[in-house]
Amino acid sequence: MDDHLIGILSNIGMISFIALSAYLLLIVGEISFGQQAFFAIGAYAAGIATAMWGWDFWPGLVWGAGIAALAAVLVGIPTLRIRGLYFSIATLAFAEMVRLVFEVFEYRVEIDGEMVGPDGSDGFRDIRYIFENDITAFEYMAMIYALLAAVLGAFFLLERSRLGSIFRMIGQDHILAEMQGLNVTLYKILALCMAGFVAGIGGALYAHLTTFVEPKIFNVMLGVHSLAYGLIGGLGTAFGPLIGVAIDIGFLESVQFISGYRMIAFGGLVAVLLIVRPRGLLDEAAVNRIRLLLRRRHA
Amino acid sequence: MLEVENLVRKFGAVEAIAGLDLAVAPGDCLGLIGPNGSGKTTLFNVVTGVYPPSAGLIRLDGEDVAGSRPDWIVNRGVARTFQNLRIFERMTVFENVWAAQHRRGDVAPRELLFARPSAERARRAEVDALLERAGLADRRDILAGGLPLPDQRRLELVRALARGPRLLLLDEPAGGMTPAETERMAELIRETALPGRTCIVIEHKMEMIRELCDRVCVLDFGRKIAEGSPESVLRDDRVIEAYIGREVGEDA
Repeated sequence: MDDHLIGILSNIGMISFIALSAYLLLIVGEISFGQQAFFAIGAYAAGIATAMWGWDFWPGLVWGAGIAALAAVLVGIPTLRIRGLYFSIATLAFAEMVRLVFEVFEYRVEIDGEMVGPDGSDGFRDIRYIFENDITAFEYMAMIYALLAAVLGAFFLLERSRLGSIFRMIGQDHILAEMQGLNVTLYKILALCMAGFVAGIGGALYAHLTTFVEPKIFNVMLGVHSLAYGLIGGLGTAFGPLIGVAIDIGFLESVQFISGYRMIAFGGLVAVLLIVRPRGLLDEAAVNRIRLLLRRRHA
Repeated sequence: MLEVENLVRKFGAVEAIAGLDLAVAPGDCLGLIGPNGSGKTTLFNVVTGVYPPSAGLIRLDGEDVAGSRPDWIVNRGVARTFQNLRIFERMTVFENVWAAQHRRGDVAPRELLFARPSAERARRAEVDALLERAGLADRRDILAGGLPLPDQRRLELVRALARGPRLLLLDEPAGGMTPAETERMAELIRETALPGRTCIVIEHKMEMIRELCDRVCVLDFGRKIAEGSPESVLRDDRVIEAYIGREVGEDA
């Protein structure tokens, strides 16, 4: 496998995490413009753990994702009473706040005669765990996809469970969901927490792939894209956002003669789909039809 | 079962409920009638906590629930249907009824993720039995948004029943139905909803009220204007006046 292809596939895998994170919130009926903040928090926290505290990769990754989940709960508590547009604006404001905090965040220690750590707007260099431990690009890609498979598996388990059903109920009609005895706010915080965790995994993977993170990467465009992935691919199944990522990163960004027109094509695609298929390619109706076909074949 | 005392609910300057007293004994079926805008649906919304009351008391089995969170109230054994039909349109018919079990007492919190297979099988069988009873079994796997209106009303009814409520609030269960469908709905309610349960039914179709209810309460402008057996109430002059108004010149 050549390096270019490995690079693209690794990218698709990583971005899939933040796409799944935004997707989970779309399911509970909330549009977040701020998932990039949890991606950023995961990246910094995991990078600090491995590059500065000498942690192993996996504990560092879980730590990064955990801190992102905790941040999501803290954001959820004050924003829990607001809905719709107000929630969207609150998440956008929070994400910009996080980005600006990283612009001034300095935490540097000397390791082997070199200063390591986040250095404000100059970013956080030398997150070199992958290189120091002789993990090849191909192996790292395999790690990304193993994790993605695990997270996808968790999503499928969720979709079949009563909890997954609760998330969809709240997204469709929160008053009707309350009338089924559900504390809507509580479940929304839970969804926000889970989404923060998933975005944090993506961020941790990103930091170790690029070895360098800087605040400006985590701008609102990252959040808008991750939202759009679910809206393009469809909100009926967790495969939906992955299709969105594959179309954008795998095709528009990576095929050379198209990439210059990426944003034009991407914007157009979102606009057309929102009119023709407002809940994406694999919407609930399509997923239900596929499910029935599969069941009939088994029977 | 349910006691309402001096209940008031204002929307701005309008008193949708203006000092209402109401009591429903366990096992009773109360008919709630009155012209449009008389406060019937508002009463359901206040009792279930969708709107907090502006003043007054609401007691469920003696426990004051006025102003409590809706999920807390309904988890004390209240279920309802909606006049303007509320179903989970992008879920299958089966999932709509299954959804009513999620927070039922017999579903332990950890079962929200990992259900105990035997218990889950029994609960799914219960959903299928309800769908069978409502004549929806052959449509169990289509998205509920695609059902015709009478089917959606029956789906709402069995979804409310799947919550296992002690108090059931039905808001125009036969709204928009033909006489034949109304008859079928009345039969379904009589056989599945009434036994062992307290009910309040809002309905404009008097044949349905007569068939289901022991007692009728008439609201007008957020107040109770008459109460009694269906026959006596429907002969009451104030009720006739509230519904059709007075004849010109009769005013004295």
